[in-house]
Amino acid sequence: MNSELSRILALKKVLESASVGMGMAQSVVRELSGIKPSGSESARRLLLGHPLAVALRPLVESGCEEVSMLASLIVSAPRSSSAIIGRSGGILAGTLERWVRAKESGKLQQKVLRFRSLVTCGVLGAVTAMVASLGPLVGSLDFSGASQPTGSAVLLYPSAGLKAISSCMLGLFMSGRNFYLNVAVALGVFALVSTLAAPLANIPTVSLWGVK
Amino acid sequence: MRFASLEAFDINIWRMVSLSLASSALVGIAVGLALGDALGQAKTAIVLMISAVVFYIAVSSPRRLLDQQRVEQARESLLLSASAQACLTITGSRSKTLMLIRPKEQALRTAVKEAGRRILLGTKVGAAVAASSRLIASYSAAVALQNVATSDASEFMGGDEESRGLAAASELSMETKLPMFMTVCFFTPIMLVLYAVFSHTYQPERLVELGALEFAVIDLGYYLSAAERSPW
Repeated sequence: MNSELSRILALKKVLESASVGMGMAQSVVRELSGIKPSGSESARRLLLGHPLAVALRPLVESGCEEVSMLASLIVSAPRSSSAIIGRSGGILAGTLERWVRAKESGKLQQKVLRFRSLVTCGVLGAVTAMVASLGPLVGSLDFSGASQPTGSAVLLYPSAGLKAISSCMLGLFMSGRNFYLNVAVALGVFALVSTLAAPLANIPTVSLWGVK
Repeated sequence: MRFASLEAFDINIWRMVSLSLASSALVGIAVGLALGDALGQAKTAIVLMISAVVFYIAVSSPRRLLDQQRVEQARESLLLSASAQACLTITGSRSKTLMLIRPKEQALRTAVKEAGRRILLGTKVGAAVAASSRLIASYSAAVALQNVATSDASEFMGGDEESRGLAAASELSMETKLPMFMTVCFFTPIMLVLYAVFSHTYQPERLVELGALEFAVIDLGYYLSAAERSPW
């Protein structure tokens, strides 16, 4: 099970135990001891005699907002009543559990989107390599008879740079810190297609003046 | 003209517009210098378009900040509701409850503190909460606070309808913006390479200028497409 969900479920059990009259500290020690690392650390701190606010700090500052919200509610128990906090927190825990499950399905969608962006970068690499390799050849075809210099090799590296910028930004948008995967895929496909297209790009141009 | 986002952050509309104009003009000048002569006559139109997009991004930043604040407050409204209910049941006092609840979100905390300050100065709980609710962006957070002043502890618990609505809006927005950004990222380098080919632009400095244009276009696309934060 996902660690966020297991922590939420453990905190939900803490609130349920508190709602039937068990002390908050006792239920925290009972339910969170098996949840590593932040849950067991909280239980250890409570057993060492720290107050609830200090003991639950690893959960409050855990980075997962849902866990942090439930832990904050438990921390507020000494200011009111454990039983009432337990009862009102039960509904909150149900909602937060639903949020964590929605977040999980969002992560799956995100994986598909990342794959889609990798495919896009690959196709972009192939198209840019074709344009950069064959474009100068097509551009140099001159029906007026005046010869134009072919610059396929000149355009290859700048095209790779342009494509690297674009795939880097797409990677940053879709995958965050894993953007280098998008750049690597785009550059790999670019190198492959430009190597394959090199023989075509090196055909000497013939003046089309007078060709019928 | 009144704009909720500008009022929420207490920003003068004309100051905001002039700041946005200044930033768009600065970006326009920088892009104009970076582009050089690579684009010929099209340069002016492109610089104007980029400046217009920068103006839009700058002028709409308070709205985006307010939306972000709303998402955070809508999330926290559930916790606020639950802890306020518990406090009200125990203390039986609306004013004490307002003093005891401590939200984590900055604007919400300011609103609760403001309500507490007014109560200590002698204002009635309902009036104090109504006055400080104006600082809150999320309606469910505002309702959770108003419930402290008006409702019984038993009929307190707010739902997560606003959060669900914000999540659905965020998903729809992402569905629209993602293909747009992918299209920008896909076609910009291809079009620029084609431009270089057909205009016989092979000089390294001109190609660097095209690279600068690509970076500017995709960067603006990135900012425009960056999705609103989902509640989950």
